[in-house]
Amino acid sequence: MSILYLLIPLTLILLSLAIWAFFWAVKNDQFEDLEGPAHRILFDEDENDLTPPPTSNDHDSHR
Amino acid sequence: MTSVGADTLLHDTESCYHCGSRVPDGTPWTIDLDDTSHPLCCPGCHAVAHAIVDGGLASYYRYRTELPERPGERRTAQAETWAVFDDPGLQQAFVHPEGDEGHVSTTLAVDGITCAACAWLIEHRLNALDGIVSSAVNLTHHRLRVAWDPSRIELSRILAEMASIGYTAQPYEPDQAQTRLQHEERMNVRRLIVAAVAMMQVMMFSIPIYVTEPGQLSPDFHALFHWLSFALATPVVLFSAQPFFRNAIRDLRSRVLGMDVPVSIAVGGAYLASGYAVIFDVGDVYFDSVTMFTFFLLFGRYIEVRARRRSGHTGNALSSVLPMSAIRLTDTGEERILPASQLKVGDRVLIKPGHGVPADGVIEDGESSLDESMLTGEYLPVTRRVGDNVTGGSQNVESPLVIRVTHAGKDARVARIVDLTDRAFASRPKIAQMATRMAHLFVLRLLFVTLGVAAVWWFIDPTRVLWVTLSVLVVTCPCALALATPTALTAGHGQLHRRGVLITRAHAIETLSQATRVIFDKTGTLTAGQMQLADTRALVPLDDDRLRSLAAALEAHSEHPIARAFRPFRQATVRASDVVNRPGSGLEGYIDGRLYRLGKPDFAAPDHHPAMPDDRQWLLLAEAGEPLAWFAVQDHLREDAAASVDALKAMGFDVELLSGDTAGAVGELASRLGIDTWHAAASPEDKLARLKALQADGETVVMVGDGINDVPVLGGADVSIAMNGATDLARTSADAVLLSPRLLRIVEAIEISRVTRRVIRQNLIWSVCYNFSALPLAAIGVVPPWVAALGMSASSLVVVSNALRIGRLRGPLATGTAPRVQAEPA
Repeated sequence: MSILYLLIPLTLILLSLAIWAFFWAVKNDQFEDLEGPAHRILFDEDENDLTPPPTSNDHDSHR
Repeated sequence: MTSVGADTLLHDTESCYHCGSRVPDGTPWTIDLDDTSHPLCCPGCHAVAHAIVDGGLASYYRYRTELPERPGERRTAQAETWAVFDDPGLQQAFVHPEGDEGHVSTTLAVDGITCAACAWLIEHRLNALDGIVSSAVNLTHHRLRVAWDPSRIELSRILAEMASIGYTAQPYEPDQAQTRLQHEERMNVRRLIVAAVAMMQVMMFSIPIYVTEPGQLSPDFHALFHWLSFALATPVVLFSAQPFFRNAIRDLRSRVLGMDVPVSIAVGGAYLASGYAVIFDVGDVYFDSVTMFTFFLLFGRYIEVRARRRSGHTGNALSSVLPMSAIRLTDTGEERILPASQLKVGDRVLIKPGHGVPADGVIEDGESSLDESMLTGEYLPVTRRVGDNVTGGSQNVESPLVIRVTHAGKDARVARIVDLTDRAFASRPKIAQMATRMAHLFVLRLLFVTLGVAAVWWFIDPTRVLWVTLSVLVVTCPCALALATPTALTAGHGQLHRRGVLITRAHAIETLSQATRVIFDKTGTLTAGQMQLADTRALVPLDDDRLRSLAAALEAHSEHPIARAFRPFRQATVRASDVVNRPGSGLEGYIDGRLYRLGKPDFAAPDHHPAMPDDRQWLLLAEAGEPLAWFAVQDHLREDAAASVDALKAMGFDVELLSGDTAGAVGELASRLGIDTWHAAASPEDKLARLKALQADGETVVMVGDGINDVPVLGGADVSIAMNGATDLARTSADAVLLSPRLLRIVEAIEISRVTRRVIRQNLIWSVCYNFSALPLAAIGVVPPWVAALGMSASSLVVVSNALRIGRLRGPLATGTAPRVQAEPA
């Protein structure tokens, strides 16, 4: 049972680490957008999507 | 999260490939994708779809789960105003340096984001530009954070790129309320995290005590576990449960008891009693119940708030109404660009055509027509001359104006409409108020019963008083009762969101299910808010196409909304020259050397003109004073307007039309849709008065609207629904926002709200039954607090799983009107 005297302080240290990590995440906007990343992972980044950037053919949508 | 109807909508050959609207017959616009040609409905969609595909981002069409908004043509007029955002003075307010390499960043509020594919599209389009350092779209709040190198690209170019793929963006400046809300939300997340982590750990320390026989656990460990639990529960009570205590104190002060009072007593009482037990080593310890209870309640509230915050509005309500910048004329006549918020009374301001009016004022120089549809609902511009008043928020259509500011910023008329809205909110006849009163009575009785139980036990066995009282409080804790409504509402929100209706206020679903009357605004709600050519009557033997192309050639030189009706009929071979705009009358110009006039009959053919065919809006085309043809223009009806009105009537609603537009236009529309009750030329104040009169007669009113002029009445209605193209202000004051321009969603929303109400009722009955059967057991002392906590959790679980049924509703709804509802016109 004496192992508990080591494990319990360890638990408490891990606990404070977890809380610190969560608070850090809140502070750094990690909880701001909970929807986007869930969808974003589904989009392929390869294929023909990343062809060269459009240059001047912006059509007539802005004049 | 593929929406139910999206797939069929996306691949219907009759609908526009980009926005899903119906494609008018014989439209020339198409887009080629994977060797197939898809139809497009309008030049706006054409431009956007080609910009997307040419940019190599065609995958957007595979990824999307929701259709985008139809690209508004009005917005193209803003193109020139973007340049003002490059002004360093103006940029100071919202652009911040990023890193050491001279890069800068800003946050933009983006309009038109409908699903995750939009975020993908925007980021890929921007990241492909030279000079963009990074871009990230926040899908929840519809904001874009972009960092760029100012030496290689300008902000106006970024805004233009966004517009070319169909999104309008403007600098986001959070107002005070917004900042406070964000801070509060973050605190809630922190509170939840502390409660969750502490709850798990306290449980770890409690389980050994529960599972071991008395005496198996050495007294040292017993005490250690208790002290550790005590230490862990302390931040939960002092930090996480703080909102409950604060609300309870507020409730006690206002003498209206809410659920927070018994919650506070249970949490605070159990904590103090357990702390006493630990310190003096007498009695039992219930820190696990305390932390678990706090966590469950916080979690429920967090989910509810989250659902409510997922609204389409972008934050700063007034910004989209009043332009960001203004051009002030100095005494020497120089033009100085400055933020509109810095205008003062007495300033002279130049308003170019296509720009917004930055403040209320009096015209000092110039004559032009102004589009005041945002304020009045009147969709045709009105002519204003020297000495006339202009209202901030309207759009200058034709020629430059110089005004002297009379009311700026918070004193402007738009800002006062916001005030009116606040007042409407304050006097809103709330079902919520009734719920509060019921909760008050329930809690009051609960406290009396608990007090009575405690008193009785005081005489039976004083040592057990505390624990029996606690059991009574926990077991009857209105947890299931408190969860009954919000969980069902949350599930209802989710279901509605999947179907394209976003609920922004909790009470909306409940009220929607009890509504008796639906009031529609006209422009932008039942109609699409865009002019279309409805009829052509030739007066000479010339074919219609030729006549239309002549008119279109003249109108090509105008920015007037009517001109857009002629845009589809432009022909490259027919060109007009020397076109002069006569505000309030029409246009004149030369085609192939001959003078043509188009506009009011008195102007086009002053000497002799035939009578108008009927009382619609007719324009006369004349060649050198000889009438050639009549053109009827009108705002076209939304495709599903008639079907929606029919469905609502079939469900037993009174349908009413309330508009700021002229009697002729409103009456014609009402008779076409079969709406019997209608009111025209109604100001925002009139609309609110009409609403109050109906409410005084005991009606529960649903208001559907889109413009600033609808804002007060949206605020005052029992339930208000804003269209997806609505102004930010209308969205923020509405209880629900349509995510797609489909009125039939309203019918579905009402049906889902009825299902939700049924589930809420079942939940309430269940939890009340549970409370009534558990209360006597707890009162006679056979339920120890941990069983009470278990019972409470189990009853909550029943309530939650019942509520989740709403989320599983799929396809057509089972109610009687469903077949009609689902029959969307092709």
